[in-house]
Amino acid sequence: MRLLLFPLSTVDPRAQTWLDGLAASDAELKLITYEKRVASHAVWLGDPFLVIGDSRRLDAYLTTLDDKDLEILNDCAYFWLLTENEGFTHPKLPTDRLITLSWNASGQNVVREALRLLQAFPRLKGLSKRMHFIREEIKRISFGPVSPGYSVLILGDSGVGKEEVAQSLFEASERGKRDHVEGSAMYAVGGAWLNMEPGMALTELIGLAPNRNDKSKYAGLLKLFSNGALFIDDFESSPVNVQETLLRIMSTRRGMPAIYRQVGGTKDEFTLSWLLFATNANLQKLRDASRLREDFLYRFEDRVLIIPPLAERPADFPAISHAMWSLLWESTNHEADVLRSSHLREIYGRKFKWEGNVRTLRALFALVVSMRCNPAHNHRSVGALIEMILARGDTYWHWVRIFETKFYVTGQSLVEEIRNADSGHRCFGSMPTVKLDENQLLPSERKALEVLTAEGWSIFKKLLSDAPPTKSKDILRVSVRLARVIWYVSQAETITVKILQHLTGVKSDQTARGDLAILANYDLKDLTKRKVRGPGPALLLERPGKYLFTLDSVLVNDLNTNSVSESLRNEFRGNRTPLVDSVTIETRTENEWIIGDKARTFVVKYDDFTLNVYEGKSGFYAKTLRFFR
Amino acid sequence: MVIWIVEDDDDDAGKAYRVVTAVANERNGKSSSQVKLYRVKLIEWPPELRTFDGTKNHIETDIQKARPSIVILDIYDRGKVRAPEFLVGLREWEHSLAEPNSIGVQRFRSFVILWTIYSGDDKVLSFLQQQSQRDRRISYTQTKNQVLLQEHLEGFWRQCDEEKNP
Repeated sequence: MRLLLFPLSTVDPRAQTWLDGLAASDAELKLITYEKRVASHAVWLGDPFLVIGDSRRLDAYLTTLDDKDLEILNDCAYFWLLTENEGFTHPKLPTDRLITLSWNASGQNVVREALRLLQAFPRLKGLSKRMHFIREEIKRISFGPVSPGYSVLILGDSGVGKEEVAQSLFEASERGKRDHVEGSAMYAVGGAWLNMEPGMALTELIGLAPNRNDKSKYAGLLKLFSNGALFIDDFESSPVNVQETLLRIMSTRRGMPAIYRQVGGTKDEFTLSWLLFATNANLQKLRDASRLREDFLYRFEDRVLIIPPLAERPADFPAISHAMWSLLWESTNHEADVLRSSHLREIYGRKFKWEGNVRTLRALFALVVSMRCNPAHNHRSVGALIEMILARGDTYWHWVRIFETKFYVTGQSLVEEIRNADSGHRCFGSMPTVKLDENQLLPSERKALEVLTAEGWSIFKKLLSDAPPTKSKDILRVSVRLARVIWYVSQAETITVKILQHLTGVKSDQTARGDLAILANYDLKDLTKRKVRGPGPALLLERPGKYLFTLDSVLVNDLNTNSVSESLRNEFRGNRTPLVDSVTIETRTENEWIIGDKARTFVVKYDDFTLNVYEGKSGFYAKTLRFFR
Repeated sequence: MVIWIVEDDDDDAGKAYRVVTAVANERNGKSSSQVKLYRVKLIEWPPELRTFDGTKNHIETDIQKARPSIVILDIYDRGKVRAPEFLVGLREWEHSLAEPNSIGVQRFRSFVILWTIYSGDDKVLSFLQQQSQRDRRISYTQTKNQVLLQEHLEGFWRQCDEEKNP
């Protein structure tokens, strides 16, 4: 068991004595001391930690933490401050648990007990308050009597770790500690798996007795795991007759063996199997749809564990991430890369909903690890790969499309892939400009046709007829140049003048900017199939609390203060954003505006091809979202 | 950030120099460390290291005082494949620099970009592939293209920066 120590200065002798006392009280406790500079990363390291310093230094330390740090800190049940004054408090600290410990008093038991609880359930990785509560509940339930009459219900979305909780329950119980008793293991079965032919499902559960014609017999899960536990996941998917049988078993007088008969059996059978149920379904809806018997639920009494989604447990994110990361590397032949605080900040900052919860997080890391194990990606850092994957969208279904690109296998960048696509098609060299012929599209044009909507494609064609002939020797027609940009934008989040130059071979800065202006003006990104939008000014990107707008009614080259300001006004007044209340727009400088509604304030800055929207009035601490720059 | 350009050809060394300065400028602000650039003209170990400004060789420097973060390593020197020996020498030297610290032993291994043209030479291709499979701090480019060098350099530079974070 690890406890990370972050001394903010030379450790006071009294603090050292306090720490020695803590270490002496538990031989398994490993205290790891970090340098002061690492303290600001403490919440991202995924281990319980103690920050040590006098009140002044603690105050300064807490002031340096940003919003993301504080979200995690406030949700964390396994960090403490060790200082001279036990009354130390800070406005940024939560007040619902004892955090400040004095090195003048012997309060080591606070830390020790929390760490022991954490250690008791190695399968449960999170450090959140919710997970701490679940550990306490598991302890309470599993230390009590276990039998069919004391069944437990575990509720939570898919991927929140219901099976890990069930395993922890079982392992913490007296049954989980018996090694050599027959049938004392826990067996997990999916309710959907039991959703076979009803008779067979029942046989699976209660077993089959031999008869005159058929000598075959099967003890059934209840018998096989009579001294253990039966974990039935998605139990609502099992047939009604199975539910009824389980209900009968659960109705047994508590602490007594349940009596039942096998299929075809003539004598009573007994089971002490502990029944653990889990579901991600909405129980209310199931009950209303008569798919679940109401009296089934009452049997769980005070033994219901509710696991919230990962997105609602910020302090679990670093700990689970580190655990996943280590596990994934164990299955490779490579030395593990370090998952750094900067990587976790990047992912956490996206505020994903994590549909699929821990499984989604694992899938993301699996993609990164897989690429890091491919020598073609040796030069790409973990952070760069994470950024590349996340740039594709907010869900696994966006990320996994990285398999569509050669990039995943060959490490060839998107720019290289696009550049190479048209080679061999006589599109290079000083040839006369040719207009677009839909019957003879080049690969990049075909890609543009593929990713654009019908409206987008018609705009694209119109745009080509309006565009001046290209002077570049590297490219045959303007359409190829723009098609490459559209292809790139459809896969990546942002494009820069420099990338456009790499993509198209255009050397002139002005031409590259002109291309971006044309595309920004027509807003082709939003006309791709990824996201179709209606006419008018568009919200390009929307993440919780962050918005990025395009000014498609204004030619970017001709932008001036009034037109930008007016566009933004229209944007807000048109209620095209979630900011539905009336807004105020205050001009700060000729290219900077403060926009606010009742709840939020944004600073919008325009420079070259970027429209940056910052959250908060200072405009310094929020991440910039940019499209064209 | 200490970068070595191990390149016998002056023109190519100049190209590499321009790429390094472009990346350094690009990362200005993102990277906290100052860039120090050195050139090794003869690809042999131990190397004769000199400060480098893209055109002329300058003061000879003790390699102990210029431990590299990134090495741009050409394969051929005067028509012969000399990079493998250099790489072995570099790694052995880096191994000898390991320093004990509070957690264990702090090892230093530079990032190496094998920047070369290898067309037609199966042995060289095999060397490149083996090295990049064995050691994730080594990558190779398929040509002496500056854009490719820049991409690899930017990647390793970022890895150096990321490694400074806990």
